[in-house]
Amino acid sequence: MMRIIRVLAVLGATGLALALPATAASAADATGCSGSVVSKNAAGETIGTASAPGEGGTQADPLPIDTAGKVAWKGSTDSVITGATWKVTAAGATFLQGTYANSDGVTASAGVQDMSALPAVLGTILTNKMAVPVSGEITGTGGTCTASGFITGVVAPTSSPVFYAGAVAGVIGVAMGAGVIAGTKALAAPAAAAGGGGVA
Amino acid sequence: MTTKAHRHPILGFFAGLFFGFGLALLLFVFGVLPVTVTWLAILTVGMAVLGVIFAYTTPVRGGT
Repeated sequence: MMRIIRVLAVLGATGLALALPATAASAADATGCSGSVVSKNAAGETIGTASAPGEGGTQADPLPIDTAGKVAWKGSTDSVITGATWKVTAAGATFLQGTYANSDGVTASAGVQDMSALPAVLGTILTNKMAVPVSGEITGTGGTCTASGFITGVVAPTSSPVFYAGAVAGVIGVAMGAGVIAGTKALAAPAAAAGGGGVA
Repeated sequence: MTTKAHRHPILGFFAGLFFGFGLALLLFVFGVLPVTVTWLAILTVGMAVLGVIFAYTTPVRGGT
């Protein structure tokens, strides 16, 4: 679990992120910090890069993540931030947060993260067409670091169970809609129906 | 003789709910929309509301 938290914190806080939304592969941005990320697949080949300030990690050019690969990252804050709280959001929802003492007064860090620490199912859910917004924020004594951007996957859309789930849900919805049309009928008044009498 | 329309707003609600949820997933998968809970909620709830409206406005079969 801690490895997952670390991976996600890295993805958010080093500005994997890096970009203002909805712009083409233009310059990315981060506030109070800077960083860069190099994403590699299982074979060790580079499949994407992003940096802040710099290019990559935008909605139009999201950073590909291979859950069988690795991510090399480095980042630094503009000032020493201590006694901080941090949070990571993905898809618009905060799902991880915590505290960060930083008693050593560190302002820069780097490393290589094995993405296999993430749940393997993510590798099939994330398609290479998706753009998932990810952001990270560290706020504490000495300053604030915020970074945001977009990630994507490496599998084809039709290989993802999300595609089939969406198709099935859509078909169920259409079928129920047809039921609404078929079931909307004019009913005779009770008096007319009562006149039918009984059959022995 | 009077007639009364028999409509299905609850069925329409769930029809829209399923359709909106499925549509959202497909738009996410193909990158038409960014994957956010906001878009998921807008499409799912929005289509559910439209489903109810649809149920109340769809033409009545079998006379008026």
